[in-house]
Amino acid sequence: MMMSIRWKRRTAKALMLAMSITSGWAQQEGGDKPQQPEEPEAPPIKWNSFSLGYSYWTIGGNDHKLRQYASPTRDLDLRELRYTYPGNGITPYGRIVMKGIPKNDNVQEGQLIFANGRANLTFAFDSHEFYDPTPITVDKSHERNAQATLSYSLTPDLGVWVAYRNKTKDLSYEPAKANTAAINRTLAAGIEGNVLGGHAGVTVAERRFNDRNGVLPTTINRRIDLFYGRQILPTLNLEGVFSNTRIQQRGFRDSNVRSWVLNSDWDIGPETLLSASFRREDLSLPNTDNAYVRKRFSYGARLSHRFLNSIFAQIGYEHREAERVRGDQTFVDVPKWDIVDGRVSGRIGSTGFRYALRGSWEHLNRAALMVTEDPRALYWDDRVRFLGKVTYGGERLNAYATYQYRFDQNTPRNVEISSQSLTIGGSYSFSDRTSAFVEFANERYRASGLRDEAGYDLDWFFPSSTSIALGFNHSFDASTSLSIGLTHFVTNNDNPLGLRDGNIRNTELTATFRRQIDQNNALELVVAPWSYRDRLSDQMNYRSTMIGINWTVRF
Amino acid sequence: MQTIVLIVGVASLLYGAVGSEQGQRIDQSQAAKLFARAKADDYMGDEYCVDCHAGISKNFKQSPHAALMVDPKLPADKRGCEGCHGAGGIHQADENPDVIAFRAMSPKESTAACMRCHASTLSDAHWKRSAHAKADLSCVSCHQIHPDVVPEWEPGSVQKGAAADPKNPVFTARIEPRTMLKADQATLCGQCHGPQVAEFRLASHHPIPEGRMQCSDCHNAHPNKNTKINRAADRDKCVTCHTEFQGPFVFEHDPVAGHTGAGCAECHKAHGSHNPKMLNSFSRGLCAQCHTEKLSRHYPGQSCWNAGCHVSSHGSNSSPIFLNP
Repeated sequence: MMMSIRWKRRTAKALMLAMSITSGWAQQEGGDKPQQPEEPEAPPIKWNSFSLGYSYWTIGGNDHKLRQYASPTRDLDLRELRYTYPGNGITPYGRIVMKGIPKNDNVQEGQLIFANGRANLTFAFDSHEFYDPTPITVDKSHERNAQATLSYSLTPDLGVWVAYRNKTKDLSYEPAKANTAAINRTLAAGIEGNVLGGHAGVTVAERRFNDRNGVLPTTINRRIDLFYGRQILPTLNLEGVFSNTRIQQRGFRDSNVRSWVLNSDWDIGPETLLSASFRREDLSLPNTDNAYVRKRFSYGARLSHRFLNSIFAQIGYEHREAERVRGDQTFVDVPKWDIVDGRVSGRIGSTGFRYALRGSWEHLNRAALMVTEDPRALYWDDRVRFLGKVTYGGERLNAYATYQYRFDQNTPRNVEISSQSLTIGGSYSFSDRTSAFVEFANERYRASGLRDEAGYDLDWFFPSSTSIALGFNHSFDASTSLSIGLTHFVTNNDNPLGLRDGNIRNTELTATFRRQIDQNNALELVVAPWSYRDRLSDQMNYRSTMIGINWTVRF
Repeated sequence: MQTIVLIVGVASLLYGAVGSEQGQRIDQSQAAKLFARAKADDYMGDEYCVDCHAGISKNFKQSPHAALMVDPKLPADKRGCEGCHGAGGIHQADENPDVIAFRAMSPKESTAACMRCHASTLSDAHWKRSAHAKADLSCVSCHQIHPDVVPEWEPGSVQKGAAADPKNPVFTARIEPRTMLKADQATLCGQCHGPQVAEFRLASHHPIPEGRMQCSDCHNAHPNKNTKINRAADRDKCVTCHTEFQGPFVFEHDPVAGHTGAGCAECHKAHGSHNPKMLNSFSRGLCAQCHTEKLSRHYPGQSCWNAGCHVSSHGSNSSPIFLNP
């Protein structure tokens, strides 16, 4: 009985969560309503858990493709150890999460809050192994990260922090691409808070890059950011930002990038905001021998207003200029862009529907002169973006449809590239025990205007794709449930050169069966048959099946 | 023009810095009004809250947020339960109990209540300008201060993302958010950003489905100075991990450097693509969309880079046409 109530509560809360985070309706609708009556008190939840698992894999075909980004869990593995020590106000709060063992991909994360809650230490380590997706034999690639951040609250309104990160990459590629063996170390510190009647902060950071192969120069970036903002009038906020980055490279002269930004926000009315910004950036790149930009400048303004507490509208304009040294290092061009953008969003009464329309148009109104072999401009002279979105949130149904349009045009070179994507999806709760999710996404590209004398059409190199995702959850009773997730995608590609990875059909199906043995123990069975098929080249194909069993105990 | 704007801006900022009390923020949020009403005697301490809210109180101790509010040196209106929800005395005394109930308030009011403390690391202006604020989200749209709802790893959870992504139970060494979110970032952000989630399902993507990355590795949900300072912010984000492409190089490739275009996004789709290497187009079409004269007349092999020629297309210190590093 106890377990049944708990299960119903979990399911109901999970459903509420999925619905509320879909678009924040719970808040929106609750705007000015009186406070809701209190819910019955929740019983305490056991947060600590230990999960052990065993997985068995079968694979036929290209293991590199399956492990392109990370390695699936395998053999006996620590699925998860999660422990929280809540402290008591005197002793520190501590939390640790561990996943995986050193032989497999693994992650360890932790947090310690001490000094009466004024100091917060977080740390994380992770290690993943993977392969360059190639049919030839290559070494395993590794990436290892270690990072820690300590923040301390000097006063309730002022804090300092220091952070360190070490990222090691050993990447092995298919020739002729050279392998990467790099170490990045970043040390940063900052102080930020409410001072001088406003909000201010200083951050300093040093990032060191070391190529252990000795191909790229050791590079040290030293950066400082300063900002100060305050409400100079009850309705006017102004903020200034300065940044300087000095770049040292062994064997080269130092480079420097310096930026100034001014932002302002003027509350014209309770629902109307006018924001304006000005930005300037100076780049000193003394080692660069071809075209580069030595100065950038932009300004813009954006006006937003909320109508009838349900419609949000915004219109903006931005002007950009770039002072550009040409490839022959002699002349300076100043290409200029104008960008307008707009947005309307809101909800339709209390129907549960929300919509958003967003668009922008970028126009190059002064092109740069090229000193290349082909002197026609290389820049896009018009770029258009549009997004339309409708969502619905109801008691059982959550649904959404999104349409995106992109258009890039280079008139001198007679190139127009457009793409349209449509995503439709939703989830439906048939009952407290059963829910399903479905999503369809289609992305279509079109490159027009360019067909050369050999008959090559640029459009041949702009494939389209379709993907489908399905999810199904069912709880047979208070302690037994089944989840199934499926992803399937297909690429439509002319692929005139018959290259691999161009005409793909991929399916990933994972079924998870869970059985809650008692309040604190659970068993989980995972079956995941996946396949990847290239219709032109079978070198990358694989078929795999994973069977795994996990045991989780809460304490 | 640039100089005038700069001078006017700096002068206004200085005026603000030395300005009078007029410069102080006038806060009229519901939370500010409630706290202004409270007298010292109205703050009764957490033990009084536990009498009626035992379950919530016990679960709240598991939240890092609880540990951040125990400092006895904190003023009473920023400590414990009453630091967020208002003075217990007022809550008990009123016929219609006045309390700050974050999920029952409008997004604007709810955010204002959180900003009473968090304005030290995120200014009102920064938040107000953000797309999330303009879309009527508030802090509690994403953050879960009381861990009293089902966490994403709870058996029986029917969250959409967890059920729909077949990779979750397979790639188990997953990095987690550390900021009291309602769910893992891929699930949480994906509730509104559906098309981006769909892109992550394609053959070539950033390894979020495999758990090696999170949305916040690239995106800053709370815009602050770092997102506004850089013209080449996208590139700066990318080279945080892809440091080997940071340059500056002796021979820069303008689109890569982001000098005049969209930087890395000129060639790559940041979330995912059906083309290898997350490219916008397939094979030599990528280069030919700008270098149109090279569509077929140049080397008629495979891609410009993996044919072994322009192997350093991100920039080179030795070859103006990117033949060598």
